[in-house]
Amino acid sequence: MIKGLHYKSIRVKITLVFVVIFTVILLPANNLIYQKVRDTLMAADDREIISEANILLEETSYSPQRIPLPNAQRLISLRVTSENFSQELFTSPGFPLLDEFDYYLDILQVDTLKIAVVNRELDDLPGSSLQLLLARSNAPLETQLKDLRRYLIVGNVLSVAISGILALVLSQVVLNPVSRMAKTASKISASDSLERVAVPKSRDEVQMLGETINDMLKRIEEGINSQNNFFASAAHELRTPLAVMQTELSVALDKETDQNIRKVLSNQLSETQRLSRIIQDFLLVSQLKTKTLIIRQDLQPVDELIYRALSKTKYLSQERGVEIQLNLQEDIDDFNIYGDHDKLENVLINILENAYKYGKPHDKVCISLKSNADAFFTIGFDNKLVEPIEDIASLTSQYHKSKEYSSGLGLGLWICNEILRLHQGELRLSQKNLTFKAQVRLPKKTEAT
Amino acid sequence: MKILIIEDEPKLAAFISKGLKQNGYTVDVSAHGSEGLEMAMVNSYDLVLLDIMLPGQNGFEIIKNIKGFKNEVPIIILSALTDTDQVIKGLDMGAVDYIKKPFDFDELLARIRVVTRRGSSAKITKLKTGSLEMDLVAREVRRDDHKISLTNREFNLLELLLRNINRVVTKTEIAEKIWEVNFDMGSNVIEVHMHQLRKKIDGEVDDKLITTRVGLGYIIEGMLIKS
Repeated sequence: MIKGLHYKSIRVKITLVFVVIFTVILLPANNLIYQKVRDTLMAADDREIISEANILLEETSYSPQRIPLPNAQRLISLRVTSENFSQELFTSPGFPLLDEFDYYLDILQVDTLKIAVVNRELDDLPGSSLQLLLARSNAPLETQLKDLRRYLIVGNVLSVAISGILALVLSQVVLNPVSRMAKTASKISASDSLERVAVPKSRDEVQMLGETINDMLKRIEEGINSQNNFFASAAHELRTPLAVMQTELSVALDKETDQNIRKVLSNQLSETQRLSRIIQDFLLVSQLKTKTLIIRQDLQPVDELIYRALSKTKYLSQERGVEIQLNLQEDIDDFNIYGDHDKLENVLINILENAYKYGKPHDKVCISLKSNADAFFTIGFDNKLVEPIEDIASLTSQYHKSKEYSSGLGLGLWICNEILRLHQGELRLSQKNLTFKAQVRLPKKTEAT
Repeated sequence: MKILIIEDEPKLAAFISKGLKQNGYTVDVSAHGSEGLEMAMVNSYDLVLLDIMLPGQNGFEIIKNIKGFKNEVPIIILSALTDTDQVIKGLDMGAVDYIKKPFDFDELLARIRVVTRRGSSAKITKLKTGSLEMDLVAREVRRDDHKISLTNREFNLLELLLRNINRVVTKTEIAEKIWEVNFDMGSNVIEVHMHQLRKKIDGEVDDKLITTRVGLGYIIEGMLIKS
């Protein structure tokens, strides 16, 4: 996973899609169903009250006058109407006052009452009709509709939530192998033999993806191995011709007196030496990458490593006119460590060469050797720089090539760091006010590791 | 000083041979393992420079055979094989040094000088002054017959002072000869090692051998007996 980037999970995305789709489709559909059911219930209720009113009207007669008794919770109003007059025969107490226009409707709603209006022609009074208005409370229907609404809302919310949870669980089950693959893949580094991702036997696209990734890892591993083998065999094969060139140039230089020819030979010799070091670096990188670099654990004094490295880099310190100030902690009798003196010497040579090459010429390199309380020896290198180094932390990364401070391939300090790490030590680099500090920390000889 | 080079790369053998001859050595060359072994056994050499990957017999077999015949000629391995295991194997079998190809010719000369000096030191094997005795072959130091354990550098430092007995050896001279580096005046490295050496040599006796001449250097005074 790349640092600093926030990844939105596919699980969350699938869940959101489910929730949105359910909300967009289910809510209007349920609303439509509710409207239909409400209309049907209201029509049935209307029919029921009209039929009840008709039955009551059938039981009513004008002459002799007979007024039926309505059921409980019912109010009636009875009138005789014709074109010219209307006469109220009976009205239950509490029956609401109506406008004249209302008497022409079949069903009307007044406050919480539903009123049905029915008429019957009077045979004994032609041109007139008997009109009965039956009112009853609308509350039961309203309660029924309210309940229906509540059930629908709860049902909607529950179905959206359950579908969201189901989508989350299902996508988790489907995507878990993918996320395991991503975790395994993120741990894979080029230095290891590449670990394969776990492939679920699900016979689906996830299994196909896992198998494709593993095929790809196999091809990468083969590529890395052949690259490392190439480094190792190329380094080995190039050694003898380089030894021939180096020896020929040294021998020719030894007896040559012509200054111009000496200069040419000397340049060629130093280029050949540089080439040797680059090849050595390649070999070390391939051994570090394939973890085949053997680190010996010999007992040796750490100050001797410094002396040998100083002696071997004398050619460069003299060329750059650099003076060496070396100070040892005085109260220490034993500077012994366990380690591979050859490789540790190369580390110190590399740091010294960098200090000479990229430090201020005709200046001083201060080296100190101290014994720390934390069971480590610290070798400090201080030198002045010509210009500050950008991004000092990346100097120890592989193939980093700082324009101010790096070996030919930008491998030098990375190799140093890796070799020190294999000795349970470390390389610390810092700069302040154009003073560059390199610190090599190596564990004291407590026991061979 | 006679050196045998057993190396199958003709150009390399020729250039090493040429360089060594320029530096005053007598050189024989063989490009074949078995032939090289025969030459080493028949003739008397001061040193053998030996490659490992050779036709006939490889370098390790040659060392085994030379040592098997009780021939004590010092052998320096010159090889492109740089695995630590190969180096250890070569040194364990009796080679005195292992130089990895490619090498600096000056370094080869320096290593040859170290080995041949060791051989020629048969002439002077002991230095003695007062109660101090130095065995240059066994690299042992005794004071009043008590064995003193010195590091290589302390041993070389003491040898330098003894070889220059009754003369002040300056710090610059010590730095050049023992460390092969010119240290800045602010360095304390020579003082620290001299302090350690004194602690071991003069620590428990009243008759102090090493004297500091402030601003000049160090001196051992007395009569030196070489044997």
